[in-house]
Amino acid sequence: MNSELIPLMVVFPLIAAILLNLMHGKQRAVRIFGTVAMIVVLAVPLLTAYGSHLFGAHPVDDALPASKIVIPEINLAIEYSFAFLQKALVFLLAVIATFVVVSHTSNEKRVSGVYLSMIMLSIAAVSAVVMVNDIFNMFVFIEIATISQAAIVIAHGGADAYKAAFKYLVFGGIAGGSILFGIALLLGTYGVLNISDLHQAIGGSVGDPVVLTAVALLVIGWLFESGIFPFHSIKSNLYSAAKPDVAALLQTETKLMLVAIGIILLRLFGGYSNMTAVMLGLSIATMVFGAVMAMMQTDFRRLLAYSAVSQAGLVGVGISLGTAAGIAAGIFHAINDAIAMSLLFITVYFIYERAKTSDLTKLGGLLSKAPRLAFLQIIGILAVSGIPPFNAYQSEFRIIESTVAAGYPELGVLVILGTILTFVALMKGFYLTFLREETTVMALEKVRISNALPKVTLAALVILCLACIGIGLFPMPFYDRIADVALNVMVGW
Amino acid sequence: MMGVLEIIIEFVLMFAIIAGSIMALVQKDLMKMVVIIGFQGLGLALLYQRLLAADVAITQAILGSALIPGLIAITVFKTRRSEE
Amino acid sequence: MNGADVQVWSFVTAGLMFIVGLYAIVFMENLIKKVIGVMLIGDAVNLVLITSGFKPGGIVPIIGEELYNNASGLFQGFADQAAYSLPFALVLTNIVIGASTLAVLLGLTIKLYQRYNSLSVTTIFKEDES
Repeated sequence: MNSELIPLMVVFPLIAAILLNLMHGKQRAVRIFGTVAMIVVLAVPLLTAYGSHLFGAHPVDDALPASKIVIPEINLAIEYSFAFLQKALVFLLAVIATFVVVSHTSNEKRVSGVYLSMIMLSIAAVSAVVMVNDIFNMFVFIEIATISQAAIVIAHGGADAYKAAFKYLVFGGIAGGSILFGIALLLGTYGVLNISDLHQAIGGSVGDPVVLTAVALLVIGWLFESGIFPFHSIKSNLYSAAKPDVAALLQTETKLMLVAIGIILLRLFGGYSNMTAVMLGLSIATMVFGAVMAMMQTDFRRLLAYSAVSQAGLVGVGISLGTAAGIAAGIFHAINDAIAMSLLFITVYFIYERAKTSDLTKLGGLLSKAPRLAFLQIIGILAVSGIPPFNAYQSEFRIIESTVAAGYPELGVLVILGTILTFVALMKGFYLTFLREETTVMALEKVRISNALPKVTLAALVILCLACIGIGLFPMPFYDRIADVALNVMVGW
Repeated sequence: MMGVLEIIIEFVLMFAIIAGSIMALVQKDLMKMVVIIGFQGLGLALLYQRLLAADVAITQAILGSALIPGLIAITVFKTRRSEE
Repeated sequence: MNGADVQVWSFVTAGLMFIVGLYAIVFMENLIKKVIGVMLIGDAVNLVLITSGFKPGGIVPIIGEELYNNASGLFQGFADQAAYSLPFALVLTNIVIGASTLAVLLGLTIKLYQRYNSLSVTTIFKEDES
C-alpha cells in the first residue's frame, strides 16, 4: 500500500493508450498488452493507499498538507486526492471497462488497437476527473473524456453512431467552452485554480456578479456532462447508438462525472441556494421525462438509454439537495445504479450480438431459449427499479428519506413516481423480449440464442449480480464511508 | 507608454477578427471560407502577440493560420465545394 | 484611448466571437460551418483568458538572455511589469484540445458526407428527432 501510486491511475492508462495505438494491426501484441493493461488498471486502485499527490510545483514545507496552502504563488501544483470514494469510483470504472475490453479481445476476430486505446483514454480521463482537486485539470480531462467517448461510439460504425458522436462533440464544444469561460472568470477573480484554495477564497458567500456568471457557466457544463435536462437527448442518443457494452461503460462514466463535478460545484458554491435549486429542478425534470420517454421507445437499446438518463436525474436529485444525507444517498445511488444499469446493458448486448437487432417489435420468445439470461435480466430490472433485496433499493430509499428530511416531501413522491415509471418501462422491454410468443421475424431469421452464454459475458453478469445482491444485503459498511465523505463536502457553508 | 498609433493596431485587429468570422460564415464558396478562416486565425495570433502572450501567439499562428485551415480544406476537397 | 480600453474591448471581441460561434452552431445549415462555430467558441474563450492575463503597458513574461544577464536579485521589477502568465499556459492546453476536437469533427463530417452525399443538417438529421 503506497500513496505514491496515485498518479499511476491516470498516467498508466494514458501510456497504455499511446502504446495500444502504436500496436494497432499487430493482433497478438494488442491482445496480450490489452489484457495485461486491464489487469494493471484493476489492480492499481486496490493497491494504492489513501493520500494526495502533487504534480508539478511542490509546497515549500513538505509537512504541510497541500490543501492548506493558500498562497497562490506557491501552490501551482495539480493536486490529486485519493480516498475511499475515489477508490470505489475508480475501481467500479475499471471493472466495467475490463468487461468491454475483454469482450472485445475474446469475441472479435480482429482486435482494434485504436478502439482499446480510446477506452484506455476514457478510463484515464474519468479517473482523473474523479480524483482531481484542480479546476483547470478537471476541464482538460472532461474534454479528453468527451473526445474519447465520442471515439468509442464512432468505432461501432454506422450512420447513427456518426450522427450521435457529431452532436455529442458539437455540444461538448459548447459545454467545454462554457466550463473554461467559468474557470477563466474564477481565475480572474480569485487568482487560484486549486479547488480547496478556491473554496477558502470564496469563503462561504457568492454575491459578485462575475462569480455568479461563472457559477451559471459551470452548471451548464455539469448539465452536459451528466446528461441532465436540456442535454438529455444527446446522451441518450449516444448510448443507443453505441454497442450496448460500450453503452454500459458510457453510462458508468457519465454517473461518475456527475458525482465528481457535482461535488466540486457543491464544494465551491454549495451554499448558493439558487444554484442547487436550478440543479434540483432540472434533475427532477430529467428523471420524470427520461422515464416517460423510456416507456415510449420501441427499441430495447433506446429504452435502456432513456432509463439510464432518468436514473442520472435521480442521482442528480440526491446530489443537488445539498444536505449531507442527500449527497451521500446520491453518491451511493450513482454507484448502485451504474452496477445495475451495466448489468441490463450487458444482457441486451448479448441479445444484440446474437439477434443483430434490439427492436422490440421483432424480438420475442427468448425465455425458453435462454432462461438463464432472463433470470439475470430480471435481477437487473428489479435492482434498477429499487425492489428491496437489491442495492438500488437501499439508495433510492435513502434519497426519498433525505428529500423528506430536507423539507420537500413532494419530491419524495416524484422520485417514487419516477421509479415506478422506470419499472414499467423496463418490464415492457422484458415482456416483449422474453415472455411473449416468438415473433415470425425471429423464427424466419433463425436467431441462435442459446442458454450457453459466453464465459466472459456470464462472468461479468454474475459478478454484477453478486454486487447488486451483496450491496443490497449489507449496505452499511459501504454507505457509512460514503456518508463520511458527504459530511465533508459542504464544510464551510 | 503606447502611442495612439500603436494602440489602433489592436482595435483594427479586433474588428478584423469579428468581421473575418462573420464573413467566413456567410461565404457560399467553402474554399473562400477556408482562406478567410486562415486570415482570421492569423489576426487572432497577432492580437495575442499585442496582448503580451508571445508563446501562445506562436502556437496560434501555426495552428490557426496553417493547420486548422489545412484540415478544413481537406474536408472541403473530400466533400463538396459549394453550399447547397 | 489607453491600454485599459484595449482590455475592455478585447473582452467585448471575445463575447462577440462567442455569440457568432453559437449562432453558427444553432442556425447554420452546413456541417463544416457548424464545426467552425465550435472552433470560434474555443477561440473566444482563449481570448478571454489571454485578456485576463494582459497588463496594460506591461511586458511579455519571458526572461530573455539580456534581461537574465543584467538582472539582480529576484527579478522584482520584471515580476511587477510582466503580464500574468498562468492563463497563457491554460490557453496553450485549450488550443491543442480545440484542434483535436476539430480534427475529429471534420473526420466525422467526411464520413457523414459519404453516407448521405450532403452536408446539409436538415438532410442528415431528418429522421433523428425525439
